[in-house]
Amino acid sequence: MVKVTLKSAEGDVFEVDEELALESLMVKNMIEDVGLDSAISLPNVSSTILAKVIEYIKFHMDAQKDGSKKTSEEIKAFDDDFVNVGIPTLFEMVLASNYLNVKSLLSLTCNTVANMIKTKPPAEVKEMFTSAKQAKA
Amino acid sequence: MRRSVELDDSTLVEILSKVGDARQLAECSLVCKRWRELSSAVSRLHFDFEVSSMEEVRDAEDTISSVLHRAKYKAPGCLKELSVVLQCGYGDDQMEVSGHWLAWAAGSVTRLALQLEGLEWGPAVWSLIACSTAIQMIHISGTMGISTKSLVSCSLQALEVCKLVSPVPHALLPMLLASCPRLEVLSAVIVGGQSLTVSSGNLKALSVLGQCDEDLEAFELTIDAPQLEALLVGVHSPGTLVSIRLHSEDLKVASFYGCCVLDKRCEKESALRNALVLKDLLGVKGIGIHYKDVANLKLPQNSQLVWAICPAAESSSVMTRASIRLRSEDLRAAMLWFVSTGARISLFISSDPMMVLRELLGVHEVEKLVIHCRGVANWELLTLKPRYEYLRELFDLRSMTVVPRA
Repeated sequence: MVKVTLKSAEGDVFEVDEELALESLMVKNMIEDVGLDSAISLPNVSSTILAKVIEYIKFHMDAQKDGSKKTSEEIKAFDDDFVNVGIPTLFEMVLASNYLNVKSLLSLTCNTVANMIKTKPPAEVKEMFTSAKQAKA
Repeated sequence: MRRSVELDDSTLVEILSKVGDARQLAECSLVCKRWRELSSAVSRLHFDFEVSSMEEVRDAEDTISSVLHRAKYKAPGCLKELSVVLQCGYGDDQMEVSGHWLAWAAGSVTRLALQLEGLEWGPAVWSLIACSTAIQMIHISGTMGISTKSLVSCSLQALEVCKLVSPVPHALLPMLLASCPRLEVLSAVIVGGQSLTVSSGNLKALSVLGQCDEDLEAFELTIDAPQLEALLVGVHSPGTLVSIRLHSEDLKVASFYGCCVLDKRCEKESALRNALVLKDLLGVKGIGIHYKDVANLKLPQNSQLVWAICPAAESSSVMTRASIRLRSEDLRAAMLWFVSTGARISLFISSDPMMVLRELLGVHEVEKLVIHCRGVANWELLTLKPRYEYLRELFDLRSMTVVPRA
């Protein structure tokens, strides 16, 4: 199995299967342009987020394989749990999936944010977005 | 350390488009100035109103109009999907929806869904739709009359029309087909009427669901579409003879339902037991017959391939024991398509056909599949996930080919 090396914003190195990396259309284009020899640097994605994105793609790839025992309920439970994170992390995942061009994850995270907006009054939504903007350590 | 996160405009528009509902979007536009601007640029808008008087209909239409107007001038060309639901709980059929707001959606909207319940479309609705040259798919339901002006929406590729009430379908459907030469997909739900003629040069998929008048002697459906590839006809007609005249050169899949899910009452009746007559099936390679009871099914003499859909398809999670008994002298080959899950299927075949089991959707979830047959020379199994254990009980089998679908 061919491996692809991805480098996060912090410079951490992630080695993943090529099949998995190709799920990101952005990485796919990069591989087509520069090949597999050098590490693909992703300056817009932090290590934490990149690890989450890889986890997501890996789960769904396994779930789609023949002989997978995962039921749709299990997949849904994974997705629900996956996006059950703090607002800043969720937003970072939206941005990362947009940047990496992972359609299914972008749709999942955007839907989550949209559902949050739907159920909250404007003042709370504003608060939610301002706090994410100012989130610092 | 956590970085500060701010979503860019295009991402935010994407999220707001997923919110979709106009009322919730109006709330969103109160968040801040930037959101107010962005909420006009969404690609998807959904309106849902419940009305009980003419004033409320007008108010609802004015609201839709002002939102669409704003979207058109603030962010031209952004809106791609529009859906409008108007419901009237009191069943006053006299109330009319003019649809004047459709003019603001013209030019950018490609998918349009209009749903009226207990209300009637005004006479101008088709002319207004005709102005929207970008529309490719329409789903429209609600009582409607024939517009005086014909529809000239040439770009339309898919059309779904629901609840065309008699006597309109005979006049409206041919008119729609004549004015949409590029139409490839048509799905219509009709109520009443004695006959229906569908004639179109480009049509590839057609689905007609309908209910006949109870005292009707015969219902005639004439389809003349040389390029038609898929046909689905479901007519609920207790005691009525349904004849279908079909002219098509490319037909690959046809499926006839004895009763359809138009009305909840139909589901429990096994209507149309022997009343379906298939005529003029020239060049048809597959016919699907969806019957509650196929014991006495009359098959057209000239068809070489009959494709029965397992009746258990309708049951959802309930364990069902379905059995198909097929007796035919002229049958050369049969194709069976099971769409049920969790069912036990027994199959009895007493003629000598060449069997093709195709697209056993969900067969891997079927608990037990027993096929009893004698003297079948050739078996071919095309399935998504072949599982041999289910076919263990096959006997008298001389050859079997298992072709997993790619």
